[in-house]
Amino acid sequence: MEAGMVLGTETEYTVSTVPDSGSSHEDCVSRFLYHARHRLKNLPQDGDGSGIFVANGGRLYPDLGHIEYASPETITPRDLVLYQAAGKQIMQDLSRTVEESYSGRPVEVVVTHASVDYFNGTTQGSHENYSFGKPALEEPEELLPFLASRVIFCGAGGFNNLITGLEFVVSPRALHIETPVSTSTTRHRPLYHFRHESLTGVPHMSRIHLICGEHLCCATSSLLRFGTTGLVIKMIDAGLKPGAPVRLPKPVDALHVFAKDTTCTAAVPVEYRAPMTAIAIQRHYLELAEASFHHSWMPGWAPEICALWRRTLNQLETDPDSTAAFLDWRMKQTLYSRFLNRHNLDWDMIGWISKVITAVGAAMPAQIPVRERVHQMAAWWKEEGRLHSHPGLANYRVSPGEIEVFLNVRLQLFELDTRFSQVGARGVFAQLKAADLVREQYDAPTPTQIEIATECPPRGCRSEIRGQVIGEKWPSRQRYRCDWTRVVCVDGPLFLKLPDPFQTQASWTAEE
Amino acid sequence: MLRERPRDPVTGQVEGASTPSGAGLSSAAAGASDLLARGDAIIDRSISGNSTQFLQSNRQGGGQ
Repeated sequence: MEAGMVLGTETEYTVSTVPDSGSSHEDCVSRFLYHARHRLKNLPQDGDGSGIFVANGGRLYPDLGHIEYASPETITPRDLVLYQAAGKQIMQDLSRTVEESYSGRPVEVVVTHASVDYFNGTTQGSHENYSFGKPALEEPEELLPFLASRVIFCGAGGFNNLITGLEFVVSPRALHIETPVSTSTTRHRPLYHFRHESLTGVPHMSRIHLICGEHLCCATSSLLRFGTTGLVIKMIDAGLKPGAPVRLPKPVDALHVFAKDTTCTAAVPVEYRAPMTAIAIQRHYLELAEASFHHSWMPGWAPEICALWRRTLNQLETDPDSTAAFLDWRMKQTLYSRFLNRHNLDWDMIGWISKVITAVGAAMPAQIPVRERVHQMAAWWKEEGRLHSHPGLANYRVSPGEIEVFLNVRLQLFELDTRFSQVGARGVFAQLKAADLVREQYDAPTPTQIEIATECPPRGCRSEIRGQVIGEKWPSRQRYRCDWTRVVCVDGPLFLKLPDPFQTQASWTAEE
Repeated sequence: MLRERPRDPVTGQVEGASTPSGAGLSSAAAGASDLLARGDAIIDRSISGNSTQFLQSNRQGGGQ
């Protein structure tokens, strides 16, 4: 088995105009793609659709009212973090142009990679891809305990958007995961996703496709996300059974427990042994990875990732406050706690008022749509006699004024959390970074490196060839079509075949 | 461009790998305290003043 691994990621970017321009999200998406086609070095995607491949080897395309950026394939998690950031930079550059296109209608074009929406209660994805040396992963249960517990360092943080109250969680996206394994991506989302689309022409290879993760702002969290997951997949690929000693009878329930546990101390049932915390499960996988360093199939980046993995787990266990400067969810928890305190609230009180909100919502007339209830709650609660007309509610002893403050803070926190990942200078994380308040735990990509990566492909796999060809051929883009596994010159026709994700050489041929 | 780094054949350590040192951890702890001290201004200027309108304009139909 090869020591190498090809990694990639996809992000669904939400785009909107504030205030609402009156045009649809689809219109905004179309504007982005129009300007992408005209401003970026690119070739149109092969087949139907309006997507394009850009000069770094990645892809931009419309999907379900969003713009999706698929990174080029990379051979290290470090490179993947860099090319994920390059995608964000591309979206930032385009957003300025799109904003100017709304001439006469001053709007703010808001682009985010938020994993949940607080108005409609929906979720957006950030998927991961890892090459696998066999036709399929036959035993996803080897991976499930790892995926359920990794949220402690790669959760985006935010709020449970499936309830009417307010609950800070380690991973909002995780609460939308409903089943351990499936082929679906928009309903009954799985912890492990079976994707029968390998994007390779190599018979023994396949692509592990994960949809349970979140696009993170901190480079360190992202490096941990891609690096640790890559190593676990590598161990499974080598024939180890890393999940066997920590098999979870109910992996999705465990994921939800860990995603809601901001103390990282909750333990979940494990088959044939005592309940385990997320940290303990992660330590099990880490120790197996460390014990495998000597194998030739372990990638060269394994020691660096394991060292970072170990230190992060140690910090989460012994000094969790210190992780607030480099883990997304801990950073948000710290900032939002402070915000609550400034409004004379704390998480205990929030939990209590959330129960009241739930009770008030249940007591409100059935004809008020669920989505409208929270917005009408304060006014409804204020109406004379309401407090005492529902004996169940009176017992809560929360005043209408307190409810109003809570609802206002709730909306502000939802806006803050949506803006946390916003691209450009208005993004909360971007401002924290500009103020030097983020402490990455490795030499994370610099702005110059990110800028270069928007147009230069990674080295060491087929995206290098694809990106170079796009960089050369884009002035005559009408003659070419591009896909993950080939570039086509339509008036030849000539084909540049890229069936092997690891290939770094190719030549044009007339053979399709 | 960031490239894969060679490993030391004896120790298995990645050449030049930068993982959190003691100083890095102190820096992280200081960072958390800075976050509290200086994050307020960033938070305050990030809120639009009409969060309902923001959330409504930004509402998403959901993805994959």
